[in-house]
Amino acid sequence: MIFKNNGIIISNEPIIEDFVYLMKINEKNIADIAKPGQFLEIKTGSVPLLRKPISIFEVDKVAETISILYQVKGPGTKNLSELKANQQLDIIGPLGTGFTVKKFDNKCLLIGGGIGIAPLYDLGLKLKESGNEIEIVLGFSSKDTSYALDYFSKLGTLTVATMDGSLGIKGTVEAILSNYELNTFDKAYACGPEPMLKYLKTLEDKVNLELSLEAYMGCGLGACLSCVCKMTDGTYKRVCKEGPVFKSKEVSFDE
Amino acid sequence: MNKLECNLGKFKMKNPVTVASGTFGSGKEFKDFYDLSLLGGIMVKGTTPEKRVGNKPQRLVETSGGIINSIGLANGGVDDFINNILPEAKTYGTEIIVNISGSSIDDYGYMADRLSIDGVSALEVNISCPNVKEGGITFGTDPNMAFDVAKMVKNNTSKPIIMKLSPNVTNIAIMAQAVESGGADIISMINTLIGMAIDVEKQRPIINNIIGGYSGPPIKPVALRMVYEVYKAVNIPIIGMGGIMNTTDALEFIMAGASAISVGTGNFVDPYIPIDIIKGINEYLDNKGLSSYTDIIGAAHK
Ligand SMILES: Cc1cc2nc3c(=O)[nH]c(=O)nc-3n(C[C@H](O)[C@H](O)[C@H](O)COP(=O)(O)OP(=O)(O)OC[C@H]3O[C@@H](n4cnc5c(N)ncnc54)[C@H](O)[C@@H]3O)c2cc1C
Ligand SMILES: Cc1cc2nc3c(=O)[nH]c(=O)nc-3n(C[C@H](O)[C@H](O)[C@H](O)COP(=O)(O)O)c2cc1C
Ligand code: FES
Repeated sequence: MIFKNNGIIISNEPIIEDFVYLMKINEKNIADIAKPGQFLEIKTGSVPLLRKPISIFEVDKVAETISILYQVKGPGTKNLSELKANQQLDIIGPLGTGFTVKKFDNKCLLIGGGIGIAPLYDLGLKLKESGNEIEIVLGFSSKDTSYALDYFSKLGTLTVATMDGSLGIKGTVEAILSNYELNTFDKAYACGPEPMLKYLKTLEDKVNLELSLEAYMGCGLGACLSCVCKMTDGTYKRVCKEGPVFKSKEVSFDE
Repeated sequence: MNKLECNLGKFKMKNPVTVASGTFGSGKEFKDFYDLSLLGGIMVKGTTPEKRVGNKPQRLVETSGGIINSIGLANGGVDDFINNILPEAKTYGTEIIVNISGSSIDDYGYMADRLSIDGVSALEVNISCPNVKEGGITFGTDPNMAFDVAKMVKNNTSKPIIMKLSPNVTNIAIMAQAVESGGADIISMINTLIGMAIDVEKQRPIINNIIGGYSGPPIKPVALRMVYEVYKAVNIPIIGMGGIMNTTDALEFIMAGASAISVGTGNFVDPYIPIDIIKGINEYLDNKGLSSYTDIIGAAHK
């Protein structure tokens, strides 16, 4: 079931001013059924025209709330950052096909780059609830632009990399993962910038890997066929419907 | 009494509000929002004789208040449509208008023949695609080719034929007259305006196909002017579209001469726009004390 509802904003606070925000919204219908890795299409204002796809960061069924973690990039996310508690927010969701959640025999690994960490937190919570042990690897450009680490450290062992080395290991997530015995994990999940996903795809024979992709979206509902990504068999699939989460082995980053 | 009953010649709908091809899939994707039987009709995603994977992404971008798309007519082909999409679509309780495209005149004949089946209410013929045999000239920019397509479709079906005009022409009235004499029962207009957008950081076009079709609110004045001109030039009914976002927009098209309207890009912004328009037109008629919306078709010409 997909809902189009007016959620009520409970809070909308900067984690880093003018950069990354956390918004909590009261929206019972969506909170009831949302699964990790699914996303929302949010009308941020009269301009831009299109809704903006934003992942679900956290779900609280009891409190009937959903949260989003978002980075201010342009007009749409700027609009979001200016909204205040008690205002209404026009949301469609939950959308798309999320991550696989079940009890694994061995550990699970979450890999996030930048704002790509957003869908991984709810996933981590649900994996933990299912009795899994989790390790987390996150990459940011610097200490000043890293965020939400306190959330992820609650899930399991957290290792951070920054491009400038100001926090954790210097480099991308590759600097961390190159020292990992990936075959000790039963499952890995990742979301982040395309170069990171391309690198992770080279590891897909070592660990069962799911990737959450991004694509420019028109409808977010599976109707317009604008958001497609290439599959290894040469076909295209809709990121908003069959995705945003795909098995790494399914997707092709070749031009 | 139903104030919105819509008669487009031999093609009848419960109301004049439809959803535009390529923006609503086959309807399935919008089922959770409302009962699709409330709609006058659904113009389903463009169908071609063979399966088409479509263009390389990026396929769509918002620019200057509207959107540009270049999907490349991605679809499963007419067999897939008949076997896998139509059986469900015909249960929706609304008119199913099948949008067809081809790369030759013969393709259109083939499509019209294949789709002359139960469950298909009418054919909407998209002529905004290139005629591969004639060096890639768009069917919809040459009156002779547009006439030939209409005639070919007419000869291969007894379903109502809706010819969909491209706005990328100098004289829209001539195109409308060409399809009317070719056998069109109805004209739908407008398809998208050809446009482009450039990423100034990367210094290259945003859409992988470089150019694409521009739609949404910014094209409304152009579409409205064209409907106004075509209304004067032909004797067949018009389904108007192009940037319709609310009741006022829809009423403007009806007053310019459209006997029905279609919501396209608006479905992405708010899936309930078509339903709001149905309510809104009824309210307008009540306020004006009118018994049928047909009283205001072409009102702006008086
Ligand atoms: C499935 C999915 C989940 C996402 N989850 C999050 C999240 O949890 N937090 C977050 O901060 N961001 C998320 N994003 C990215 C977010 O959608 C974009 O940052 C946002 O749309 C930017 O819009 P803007 O108007 O602020 O900026 P703009 O300046 O308009 O765009 C900045 C960039 O965002 C992308 N973008 C713009 N419009 C769209 C669109 N309609 N669809 C897809 N991409 C677009 C474009 O590639 C563009 O280059 C997600 C994207 C997708 C596809
Ligand atoms: C994403 C997208 C896909 C479209 N696909 C088709 C199509 O397959 N066949 C067609 O005749 N028109 C197609 N159109 C054009 C629309 O049906 C409509 O004519 C046009 O968008 C103008 O209306 P609007 O401004 O309300 O969107 C498409 C438009 C969009 C935005
Ligand atoms: S955004 Fe329209 S099909 Fe995915």
